[in-house]
Amino acid sequence: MIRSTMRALASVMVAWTCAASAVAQTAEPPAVRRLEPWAKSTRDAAETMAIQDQGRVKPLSTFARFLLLRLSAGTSLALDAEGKVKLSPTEFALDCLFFQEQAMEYPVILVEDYDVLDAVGLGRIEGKRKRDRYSYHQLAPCFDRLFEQANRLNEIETRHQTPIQKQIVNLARNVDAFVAFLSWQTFSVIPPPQGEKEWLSPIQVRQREQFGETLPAQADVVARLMAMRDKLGSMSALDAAFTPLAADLAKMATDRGEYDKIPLEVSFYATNYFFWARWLFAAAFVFAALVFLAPKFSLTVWLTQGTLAPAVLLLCTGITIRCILRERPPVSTLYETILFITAVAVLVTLFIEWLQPRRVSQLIGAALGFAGMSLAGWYEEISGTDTMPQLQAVLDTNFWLSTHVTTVTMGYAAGLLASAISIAWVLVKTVVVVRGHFRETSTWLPAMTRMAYGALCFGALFSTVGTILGGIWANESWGRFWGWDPKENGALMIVLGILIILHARLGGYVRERGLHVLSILLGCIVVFSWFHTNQLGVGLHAYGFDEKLGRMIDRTYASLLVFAGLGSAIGVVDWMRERRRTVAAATSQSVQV
Amino acid sequence: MNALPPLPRRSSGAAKLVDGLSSLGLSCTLLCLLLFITWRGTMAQVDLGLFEAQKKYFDSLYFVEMAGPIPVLLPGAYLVLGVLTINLVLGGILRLRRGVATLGVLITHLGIVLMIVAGLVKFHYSIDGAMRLDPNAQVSSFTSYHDWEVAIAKVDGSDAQRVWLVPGTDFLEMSPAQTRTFRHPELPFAVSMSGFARNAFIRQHVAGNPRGARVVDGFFVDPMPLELENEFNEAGCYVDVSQNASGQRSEGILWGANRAPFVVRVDDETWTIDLRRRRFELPFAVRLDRFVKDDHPGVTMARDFRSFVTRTENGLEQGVEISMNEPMRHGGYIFYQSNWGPQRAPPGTPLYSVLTVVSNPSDQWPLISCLVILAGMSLHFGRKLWLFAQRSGASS
Repeated sequence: MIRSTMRALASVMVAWTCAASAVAQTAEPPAVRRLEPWAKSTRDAAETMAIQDQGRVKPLSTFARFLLLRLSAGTSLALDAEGKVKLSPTEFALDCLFFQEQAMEYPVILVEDYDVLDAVGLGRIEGKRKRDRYSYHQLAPCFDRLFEQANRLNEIETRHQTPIQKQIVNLARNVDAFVAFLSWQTFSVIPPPQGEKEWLSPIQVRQREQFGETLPAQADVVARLMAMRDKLGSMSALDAAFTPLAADLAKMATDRGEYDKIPLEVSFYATNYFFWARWLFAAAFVFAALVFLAPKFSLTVWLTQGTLAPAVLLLCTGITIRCILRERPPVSTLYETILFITAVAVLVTLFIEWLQPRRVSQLIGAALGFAGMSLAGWYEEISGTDTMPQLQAVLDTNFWLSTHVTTVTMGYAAGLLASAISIAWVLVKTVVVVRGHFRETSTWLPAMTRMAYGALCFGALFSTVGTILGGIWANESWGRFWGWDPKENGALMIVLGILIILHARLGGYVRERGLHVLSILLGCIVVFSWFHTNQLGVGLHAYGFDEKLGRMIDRTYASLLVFAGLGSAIGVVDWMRERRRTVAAATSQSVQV
Repeated sequence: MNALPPLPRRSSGAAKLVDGLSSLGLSCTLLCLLLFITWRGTMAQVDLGLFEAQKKYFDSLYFVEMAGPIPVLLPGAYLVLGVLTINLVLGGILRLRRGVATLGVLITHLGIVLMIVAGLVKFHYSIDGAMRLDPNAQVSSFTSYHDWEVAIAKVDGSDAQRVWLVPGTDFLEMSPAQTRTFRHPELPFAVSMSGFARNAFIRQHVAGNPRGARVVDGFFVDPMPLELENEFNEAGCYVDVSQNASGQRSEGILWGANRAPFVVRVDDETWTIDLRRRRFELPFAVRLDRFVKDDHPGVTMARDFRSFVTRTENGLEQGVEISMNEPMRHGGYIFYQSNWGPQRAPPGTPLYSVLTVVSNPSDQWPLISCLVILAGMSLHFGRKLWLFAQRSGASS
């Protein structure tokens, strides 16, 4: 890595002449600063410019969005402390490409903990918080030690690294990615000649020309890009050169049949379906809660439905557009499981609400929707990578993705839904126990038990069938039905968990409270299967250990155990109170006698 | 609550045993145990690796787990699944109250029993391994991933060479301190294996090497910690050949990673002794005509890889394409595209293909069981939902 970074650093200094090393032009990079905002037409053209990254052709705006997310854990870049001056991902990308010196001053590289800077010998910079963003120039003095340490730490398995060591490795990778873009190494926007599939960066075009290849169309693009260096002083002049070039690049991509989904993807991210869905779910939750506080006030009912319906619609539309863009069923990555599980859980609550209109189900649905969308946003932020990646060869099968993956994910959704309903039951029951009475609980509590039972039945069907389908897929791909892989085992544990609850209920070993306590514990199993198995570092689904995700998993376990404990405790309190009441009644009867 | 009706009181021991084996209490206990074993076996893979964890928790009748300093004996998944099957058959099928209400449950239980039986058949009667196909090479055997054997053969120049085999079950559990001798009436010598290690490295003996290590021709067997992935373990041991007639001894080292076997001269005959992964012969041959690997552009992730092979059987040739998710099934064997090599080879390097070969009598049984379970559960839960919806409609 250190070699590539040093090479990249060198190329930053000659970014404009990158190029340049081939055509032997000037040696000094121009240090022109951008004093005006980018022209709207330039921004629009850049947004819809296609770039090939991580094996797929995507809009430059998407590339920039995830680069910014990776570097700074945000989808826009605040240039001042108050956050009043902000750059969009596309503007940030344009500055990186054309005003490198300026971009190197942007506080864009997030350092999670300033102990990292101590560890690489930079020390603390005045005015910076423990977790803060730094510019390239601020970090530059520590690059030698940073990369030296990162190279050394790469020899250690991730699960054996300390949090600071992980952050050092991560910081080095992020600096590497930033420099690679600044130096145009990853600026692969030039479609290659017919017959080739790897897009070219301007540097690659020049290199191939150096080796005697003739690439007239590609060379023309590079020449036009180079010519823009003379127009940096005027945004309108730059726009006049950039916009037609972007249009020509789009035409080249269209001729290859690789541009058709670019506008849809641009509009998908611009519309921000999941962001709006999240806040509509939040609003729906508030209104649904108000329904209980003021049941006779019918406006809250309308407001709940008026916010919940568009939230679900936005979520489902977003998922559908992703399916169109990827030409895949709804679930093929861990990120997509979050979206799909949320959608399924919310839709099932709405179905239950339709069957049993007691307003409880829609409240739970809204809460789950908000939690799911928040989780999706958070997961996107911590992973900082394109959420539409290319798939491994074995996953390149829409039949199994649409049958096994979809089915087993619906089983996860049912397990989580049952757990959420049971948490609601425990909370309501706690209020009843503490206050002695809470309005309408005589109908709510049995209704919630029926809902949890229904969700468990739904989960039993989909988890069992989904898990077995996974085995059949494995049998078709690798010749073994069951390999005791952690992810397979996780799915089996969900099936076993549900079967235990259903059989224990059938045998009379648990009643209402027992069912809810077990159902909450089922939530732990779902979390284990969904996320924890990927963190173990073994098996076919090992994505490596992520510190933040690990913490989230631990906290979720702890919260669920607290709710399960509360459920058990209120049972004891309830039982003691009931017993006291019985004794008192018996005593008063005997006194009367 | 829909608890099952209480069982009639029984007096005889056998009847009580049947009652106990078919009870819902036993079902719940077994399911809880299976849940715990699955969780433990999953977590243990981090330290033990899949192969060892599978042996300890899933393929076993029992295992010992430490609760602090106290050893606790627990049933393994094999035993639990066995008892669960009995419980399912007795309680979930034979004694289940017959009727429309339980028809779905009955079908589901039948499907689950079929699936467990499929697993049992696979566990005991299937074989699997890998076949490496170099370009234009014809291969008619494959080697096991986990089983080992010692193959003893006389070099006589004939194609149909006779081989005497020592199965891995006879030596894989040996400790380095043990010695085991193998004889066969047709062999003019006895073979003794000692210093066996399931994962070993053969090192040249120099000053500073472990004191007391046996040295053969300047080399010694260095036992290594087991790799987490069992496929990467290379067994090694010392071998002593003692001639029956003269009592003359020869010594050598056997190592799984050796490309050539140990060669020994006995009564003017040349014999080879080879420690190798268990080899299975096929009734037909497979030749790799072409291997295609396609990467996603700009990254080193394979988008697709497939082998174009020719299958030769009784002089007849047939071209077949094998790719991910599209295996070749023939003669009771299934060939899956699993890998290629050399990894990270520069462009233009001829690649070899690796196929996983499996023979499993219960290959398609899980599919049938899945369909049965799907039908049973859909019927049962669909009926319940229908009744619930009707009740809700009536009450509203």
